[in-house]
Amino acid sequence: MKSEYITPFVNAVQSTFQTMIGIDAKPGKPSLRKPGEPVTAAYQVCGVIGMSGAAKGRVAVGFSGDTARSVVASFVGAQDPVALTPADIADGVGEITNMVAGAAKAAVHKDGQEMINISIPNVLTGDTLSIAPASGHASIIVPFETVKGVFHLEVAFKTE
Amino acid sequence: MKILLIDDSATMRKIQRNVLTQMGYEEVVEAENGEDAIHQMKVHDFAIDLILCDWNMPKMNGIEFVRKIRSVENLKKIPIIMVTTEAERERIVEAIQAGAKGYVVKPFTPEILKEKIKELVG
Repeated sequence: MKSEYITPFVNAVQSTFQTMIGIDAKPGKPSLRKPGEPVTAAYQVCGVIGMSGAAKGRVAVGFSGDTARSVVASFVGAQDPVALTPADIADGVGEITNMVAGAAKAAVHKDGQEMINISIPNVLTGDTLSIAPASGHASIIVPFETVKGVFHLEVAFKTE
Repeated sequence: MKILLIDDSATMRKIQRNVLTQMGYEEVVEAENGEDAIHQMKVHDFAIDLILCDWNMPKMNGIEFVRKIRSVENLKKIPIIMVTTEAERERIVEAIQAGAKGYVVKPFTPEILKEKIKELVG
């Protein structure tokens, strides 16, 4: 996976958080996880979208439970974050992931052609979730710092 | 003014409903996909003044819904705004050709959605 492909996803995260939630998401230093390397990042709520077409893989946005609750509360304009149900939080994280993938998809082109199609989001919840990429796919993991807490973007795909 | 809001995400329906409430539109009907939207339109005797419609949804997606509605003579004039992550030019052209009157790309600010609604229904 070329590092240039991560930029549209980072921009999409920043745009989604600024536009829909009204907060800055400041990207930290990206790290590369090569195929076969152990998965270390752990989340409690994680939105995952598959990508197909000329670029195959997936994009994931992973949060701690507290950060997910706080981010989704701002996203929907909820007065009381505690009142959000697990289903509310999962739906909100799914929609954030959908917007990130959609915005990045529109920006990732090769020779003027669209490269990727995206699936409907799936949201995983659990105590210590980790997202292993498909065989042969490397992942780029980018931490984002916000006033609501830290979350991570994970992008893994290979191009034809 | 009765508005039909179609999105498979409850979060997005809530966000858009908040915008509509800020604009003074309280009569909002919600649907989770195109099939559900047609059912809701029947329940409300097709007395809908504006439709906000997502693109990617299970069962019947947004573009299929728009084509279906536009194929019915007395429903052709209901303004439809697509509200979607599909940002490519080809998709926008496809939606307009199918009969959508407005197009808002997610993520959007409340102002952008308000502006598009005002353009169509004042």
